[in-house]
Amino acid sequence: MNRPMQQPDVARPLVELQAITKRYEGPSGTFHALDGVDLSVDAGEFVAIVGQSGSGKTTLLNIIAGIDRPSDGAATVLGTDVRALDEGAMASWRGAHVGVVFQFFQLLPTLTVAENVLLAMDFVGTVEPAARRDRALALLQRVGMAAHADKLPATLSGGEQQRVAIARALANDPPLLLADEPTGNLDSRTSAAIYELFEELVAEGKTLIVVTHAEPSAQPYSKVVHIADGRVGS
Amino acid sequence: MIAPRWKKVWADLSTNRTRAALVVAAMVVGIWGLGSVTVSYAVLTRQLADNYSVTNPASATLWATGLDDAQVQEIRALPAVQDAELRTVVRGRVLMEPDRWWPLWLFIVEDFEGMTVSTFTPETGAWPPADGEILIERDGQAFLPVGVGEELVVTQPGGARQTLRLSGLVHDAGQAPAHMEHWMYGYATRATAEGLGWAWETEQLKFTVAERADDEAHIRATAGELRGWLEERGSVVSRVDVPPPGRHPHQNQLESLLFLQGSMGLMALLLSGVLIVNMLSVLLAEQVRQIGIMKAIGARPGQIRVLYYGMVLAMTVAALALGLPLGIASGRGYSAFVATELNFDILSWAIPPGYYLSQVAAAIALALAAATVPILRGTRVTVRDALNSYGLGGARLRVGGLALALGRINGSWRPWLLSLRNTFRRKGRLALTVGTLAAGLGLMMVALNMGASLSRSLRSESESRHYDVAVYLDRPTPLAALMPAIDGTDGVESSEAWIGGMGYLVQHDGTQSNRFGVVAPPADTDRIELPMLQGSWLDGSTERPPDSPPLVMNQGLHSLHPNLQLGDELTLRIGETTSAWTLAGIAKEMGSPNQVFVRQRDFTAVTGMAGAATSVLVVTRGHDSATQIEVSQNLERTLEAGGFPVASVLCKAEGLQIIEDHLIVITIFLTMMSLLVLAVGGLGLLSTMSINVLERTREIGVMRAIGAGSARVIALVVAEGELVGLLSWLVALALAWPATVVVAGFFGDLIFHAPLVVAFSPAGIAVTAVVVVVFTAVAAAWPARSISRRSVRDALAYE
Repeated sequence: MNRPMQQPDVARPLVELQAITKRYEGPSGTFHALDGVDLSVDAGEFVAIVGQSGSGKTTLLNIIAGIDRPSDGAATVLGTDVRALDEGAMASWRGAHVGVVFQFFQLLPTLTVAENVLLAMDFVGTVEPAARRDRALALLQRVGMAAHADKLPATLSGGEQQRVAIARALANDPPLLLADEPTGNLDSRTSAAIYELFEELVAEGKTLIVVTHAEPSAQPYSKVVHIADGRVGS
Repeated sequence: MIAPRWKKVWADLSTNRTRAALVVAAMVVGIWGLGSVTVSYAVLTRQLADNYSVTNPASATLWATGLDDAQVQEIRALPAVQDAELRTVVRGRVLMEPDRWWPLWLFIVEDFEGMTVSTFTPETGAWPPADGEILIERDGQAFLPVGVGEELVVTQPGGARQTLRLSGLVHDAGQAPAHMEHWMYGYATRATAEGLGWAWETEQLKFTVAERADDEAHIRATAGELRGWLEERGSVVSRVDVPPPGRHPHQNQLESLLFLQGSMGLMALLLSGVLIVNMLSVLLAEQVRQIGIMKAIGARPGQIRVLYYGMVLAMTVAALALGLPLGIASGRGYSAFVATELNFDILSWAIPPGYYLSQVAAAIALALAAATVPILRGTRVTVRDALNSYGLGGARLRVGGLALALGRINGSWRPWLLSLRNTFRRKGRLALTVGTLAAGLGLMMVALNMGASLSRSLRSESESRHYDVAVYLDRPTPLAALMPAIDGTDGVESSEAWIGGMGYLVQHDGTQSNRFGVVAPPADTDRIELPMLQGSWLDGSTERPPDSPPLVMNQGLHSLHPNLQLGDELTLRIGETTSAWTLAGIAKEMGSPNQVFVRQRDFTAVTGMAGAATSVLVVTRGHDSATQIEVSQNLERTLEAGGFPVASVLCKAEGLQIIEDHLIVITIFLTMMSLLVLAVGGLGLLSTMSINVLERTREIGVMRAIGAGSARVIALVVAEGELVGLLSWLVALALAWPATVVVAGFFGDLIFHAPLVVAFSPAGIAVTAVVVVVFTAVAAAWPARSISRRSVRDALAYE
């Protein structure tokens, strides 16, 4: 596997946000989605960002993923200043270093399960072409979806689609995984299975940040960050 | 294995097959139109020129007395001459039906087997014709009263009826088509003409120059040298004709047609380009979320653009596969029609590969260019915005004061406000839809207006002549005998004698122009009232020297001498006399030969031809076409019985028909273009309305969820469609008038050297209104019906 981008500095946190502010201009004035957020996540951590709807948690995750850009503040992820990259470089960087899992799965409906995973490898190009299909099947095997490799996403249940989305997030073997309400649309049994998978990934050395509106109970996060009105609390 | 990204392209196309099919259909229509234009252009321009050039057309013709074979042999040996041949033409008449004659141009051919200049080829029957036989040019065949092998009745003006055996048909590609001109071309031996006892004053020498065959000045100079050479040997050269080198007599007509064809084809192509932009915008708008997902998993914008350009390319290839054969077929069909009308053969259908390559390149370039804006817009969206996108429903909505006021209306009208507000809620989309439809409808109106303008121009031309039948005489005929005969003919109300002849402009260097008609009506004539483009009619007050009478030139002749200005003194040669005239005006005549008008008293003073007529303009007791024909037949009988040298008797309706026949390829083409534009416009309407409805799938689901029945949903959507259609039709109506003025100006200048009389076609207004109402209803009802059949749950889940 080729990895063209720089390796993270092990001495520094994997994710380091300082005084992050995100403002939106609207008809009713300026809205602060994030207001002076500081956050530090070390390699191998399993972090939960918890907040109510509209608290700014998804915005925070998007800034870490490079999906959104802060209005002010410094955001360094895996040693990269995410504000410095243009849209194209950001996409390449994200594809290689960050795996994203969405609440609504966001699988491409016209591609099969395996092809959805393969597509991520095709775009980034870190996996040798000849090895991609085997890797995709291995990842699907890992998430228990190998038997569905040639099905279209629409034929799968929500939990199954989310497993495929996790496999896709792992396609380029990123050190950092971000999940936005990954179980928000799933029943409790399926949710538990997804969290088991997350725990395994963290145990293997991945860093995982999960956004959730539910107060953590039994889930084994290493850190829980509360966010309300765009500010991080304890 | 196909890479997933390309599989996605294919899958997206399959999933959106209706919309993809509409995009492809828009491209097909554009490629089809472009193909028809390029194929017919490639075939017609080359084939008309090839047909003409294989006849080895004469560079010039000298009309002279005392020419013989020995002189022709000597002329052939001159270094400036490539080929030379005697080909005398004698004017006769041929009986088409009882008391209805057509002019006959009888060519006396010295050696049918050894022709080298202005050749023609046998089609059917005997070749060469025996003495006492005649060959007829094939284009007149359909009008001939007899078949090959039968006897044809002919006469020389003023002579007795005689018969010649029609021995066969020939193809003479160098002549203007007989069916358009309403005359016949005959070919016979010298012995045949002499056997008939027909007289002619001059022989004609046709020759080609040895070099610089395309140089008209060189040809004129060579013709001048030959003239001197002949005159030194005792010949009297009365006339020198130098046709435009290498140009078929109807080349101008064809070029006008190709101009019109090219401009209309281009507009159809651009319109299809607008459609492609419109539909691709929608197709890509629906892909925004997927674009966001791809970006989220690492796709660079460039990679995504390649995907969508690939998608567009795939659709273009499909459109080319359909559109190219259609374009070739219709281009060939149209070329065959034009070739038949202009009487030439398609010798080869071969089209240079460059034409196909240019079509393919143009189609791909247009499609990729049209796709660029929506692709760039679609791929520039940020991941966050893309993932938050609800497909096409994310527009910022505003409700204006009018809509709010209307909203206060109570009662059953309230649901219709939804249609009204929906129509105006996305102004950008509305502008694009209205613009596309208005362009299609406007183009169709312009095409129909052009037909109406042609028709109005011809009618206006006809109305400027206040007579019903014109009698043209072969030579000046004494009035004393002629006029009582005409005035005594049954059905004649009144008559007026005109005189005229052929003239030449003598240039400053002593050379002569091509010949043109000199028409001399009485000064107070009310038989003609031509619109003046410049200056005044003959009774005007143009300042001039007392010995330089006024002259009015038609715009066709003026186009050949554009430097001539009002007040200029011109030197005219009429017969053997040379005289000075002052250019008093330029008159507009549609479809008339090049000619000048002078006062009768001035003409007779110059030529001494007093008390004679060369034409008589007759007003009949009734003015309908049947009466005109009946009186013209009466006149034929009277004048034949009196032995008058009649060249032709032409009723006004027939004269108009001759001009209309010349324009038939253009009117047919305009009809074809109207249909093509109708297809493009209809397709545009169908696609934009379908898209507008599809993107409101969720809204329709909401309406159904709160109790709207399918019929109500369809009615609301159709009402919205009709509103858009009405707006488009009004915009088209507003734009079509100035567009018609511009196109009619261009086109009139090209073919008549004067702008057409602009007319707005009532049929165009009605047809486009019907098209809008019907197409809009179908285009809106079809997808609305399909959506209203979906379950509410599915409709609400639509993105």
